[in-house]
Amino acid sequence: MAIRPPIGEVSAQERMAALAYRVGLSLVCLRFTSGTSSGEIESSERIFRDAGLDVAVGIDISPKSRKQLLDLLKTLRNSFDIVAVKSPDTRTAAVAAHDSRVDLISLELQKSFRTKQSILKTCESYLELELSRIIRLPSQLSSEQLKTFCQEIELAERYRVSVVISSGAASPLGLRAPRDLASLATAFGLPKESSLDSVSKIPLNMVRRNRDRLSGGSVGYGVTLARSKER
Amino acid sequence: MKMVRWRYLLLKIVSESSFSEADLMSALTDATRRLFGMVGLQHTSPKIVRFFSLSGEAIIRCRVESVDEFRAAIVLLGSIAGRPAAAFVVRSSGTIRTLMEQSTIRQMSIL
Repeated sequence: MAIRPPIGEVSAQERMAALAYRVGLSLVCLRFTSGTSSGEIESSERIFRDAGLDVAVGIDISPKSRKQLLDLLKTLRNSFDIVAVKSPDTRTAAVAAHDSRVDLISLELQKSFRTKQSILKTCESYLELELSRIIRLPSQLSSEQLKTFCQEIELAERYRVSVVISSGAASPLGLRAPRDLASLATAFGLPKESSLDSVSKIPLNMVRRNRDRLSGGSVGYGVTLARSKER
Repeated sequence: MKMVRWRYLLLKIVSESSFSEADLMSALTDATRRLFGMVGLQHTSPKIVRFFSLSGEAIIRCRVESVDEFRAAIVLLGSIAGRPAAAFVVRSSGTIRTLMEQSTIRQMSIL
């Protein structure tokens, strides 16, 4: 789901888009950092849309404090379909985990098992597991990396936190087919049904819900605006 | 004796340089062995049945009960013959014929 298109490299983006379509993706979430200009975002969006894909635009934020997180959410939430948080600070990550404005939380920067456990205990967002963490350097794939990955899956299962598996690709070679990603998650201990949902149903519903919310069709969780008073 | 049932997978391979069928086979077995060990590799028994070097596609055969394991191993395939590469399962089927119809080479020859 998460694709970080190489900004300014149009041909690489076109190759990524064509490949994403070929491997069976129907919806992609293009993820940008907060410094990316709107022109660059629109250009990438157009490239992927022209390849026949449904495109959602997301933002990656790495706040270092609670205040910074809340400020970023206040300014960015209404401009993006997906908001993903990856914080090096434990307390900030914990706040993000139970803020309803956060869609995805990554625990990549949390090193301790207990920290991850305490964050996931109260987590109301989805846990994002990016395969780029382990396929970045396949030749150096260590048992430690695999262990960390399996651990997060195990904790998510224990505390009933839904998981979203994505490739986190920044180049055409980083892309992976969704069914293949689900198979890897199954091999790492996620039940097969949950694995398939983590690459299909969950991200799709998340994008639909957020689009609805951004268009003003949703008033709150589970409450949809059916009709408004005409003025 | 129980008959072995096979599943065929159409693979799209993207690489920075050209590679041979042997290179691909070596990368696939390495990836499977790295994730599931020798026993897992034996259970999966992958084999290239068709190789289209022009389009970077291949049809791979593996055991039905190990399809998910093989797909998982493919995700971890990051290089072929020492050069960065990636592989994706485009489609899986119980027959080679269905996959041949899906392959780019076949589509190109029809056109």
